[in-house]
Amino acid sequence: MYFGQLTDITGCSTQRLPAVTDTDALRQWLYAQYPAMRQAKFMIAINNKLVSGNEAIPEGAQIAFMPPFSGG
Amino acid sequence: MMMPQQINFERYQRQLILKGFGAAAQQKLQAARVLVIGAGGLGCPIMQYLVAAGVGHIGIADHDKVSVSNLHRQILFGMEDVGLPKVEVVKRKMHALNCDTQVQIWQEKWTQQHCASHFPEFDIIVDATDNFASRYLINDACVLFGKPLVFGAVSQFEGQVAVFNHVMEDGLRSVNYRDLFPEPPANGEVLNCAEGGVLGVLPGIIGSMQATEVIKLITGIGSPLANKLWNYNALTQDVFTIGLVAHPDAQSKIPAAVDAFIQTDYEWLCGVPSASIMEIDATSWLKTYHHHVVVDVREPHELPRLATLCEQMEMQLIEIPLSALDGQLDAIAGKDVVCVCQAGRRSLQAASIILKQNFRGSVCSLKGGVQALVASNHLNYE
Repeated sequence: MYFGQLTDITGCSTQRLPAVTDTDALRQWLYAQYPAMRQAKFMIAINNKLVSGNEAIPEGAQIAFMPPFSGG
Repeated sequence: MMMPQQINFERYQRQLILKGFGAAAQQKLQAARVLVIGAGGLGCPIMQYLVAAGVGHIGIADHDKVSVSNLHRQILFGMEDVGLPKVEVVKRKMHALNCDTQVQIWQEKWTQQHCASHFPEFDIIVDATDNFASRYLINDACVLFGKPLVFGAVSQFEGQVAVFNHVMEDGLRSVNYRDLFPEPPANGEVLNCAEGGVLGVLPGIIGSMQATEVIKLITGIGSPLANKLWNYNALTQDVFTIGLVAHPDAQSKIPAAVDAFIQTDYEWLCGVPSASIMEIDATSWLKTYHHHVVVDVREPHELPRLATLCEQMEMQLIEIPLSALDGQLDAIAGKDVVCVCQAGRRSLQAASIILKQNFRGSVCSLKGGVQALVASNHLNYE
């Protein structure tokens, strides 16, 4: 699931991802697929839980990519 | 022991009869001191609901004046308020709403010194600002001064709410904004409201959520959004809550003491325009830089487009959205360019991307973007 203006980069808000082992591999896949994601700031949540370092991705997990918002 | 204040039973009857609320909760509201930073789209509904609910003392800070472009979402303000300082209008209208609430105002840009002087006087801090420099400043100050922070932010059709730095049942404090994003984004990495736009009703929804969290924190009802980030999408009405955990780098990014905090330059941390990028205004662009190639880095749906203006001025126009710029730098290699976007932030980022690619031409960014062109009547929406 992509949130906020990340959808401008991906062109979609949900997508089935290839099976990758951990979040580092996931980032590599994402950067290859969408080079503009390298310039974007976002956090990753696996199954509704924030990930801070490199974490394993269980099969069938739901991944959320979430940018910071500044507006008020 | 403090004497319980008298309660206006008629006024608060509908919340007094709620299960688990009663006179005890109402007295807590009357004794509470809440500081709301920002009197814009979020700040207005937050203050209205807190004042209506009977919060005893509210501080409000905003250096801005009411402008016409505020009115589609800041519905506390009307046409007669345009040009007036926001906090003055707020004070007058909040007094009319509930004269039992004391409203303290600062018509100043909120700084580290303000945090150091005034955070100790308040129980809860509410972030209703519209920029990352203020958000990181307020977050760090809440950690330093041990204050719970009710955070809310919006972008286009989506919003986020969380309660940071709240003392949990185990005595530990809930995570803070640095645990989500340890470092602020660079200028232009994320759009603000002026740049990206915002649906008028959205800050009303998100601000109301923040007011709800403040009332819960004061009265102790329910469970606050601590260690959670609540996300809302107005287009789908989807709500998505994620559990938050501490980030190993977060603590080291927050100034360790008040002295270091006061010396931290938050605006610099959040990115200032690079000196080698020339920011030009609309008039000098059309007069002096009209031989530069115009690079419109907005998405194709953003209006008004520049094609007609460029045709009239005989300027070459290339349209490459910022998200695709990296792959299409060849199209502008060696040329002098003026980058243009909606409000002048993405164009700065585009200019810095172009400069990084060993670009030999001159690289400008149109200050204020297309909005400045519209404001100066160089362009209209037709």
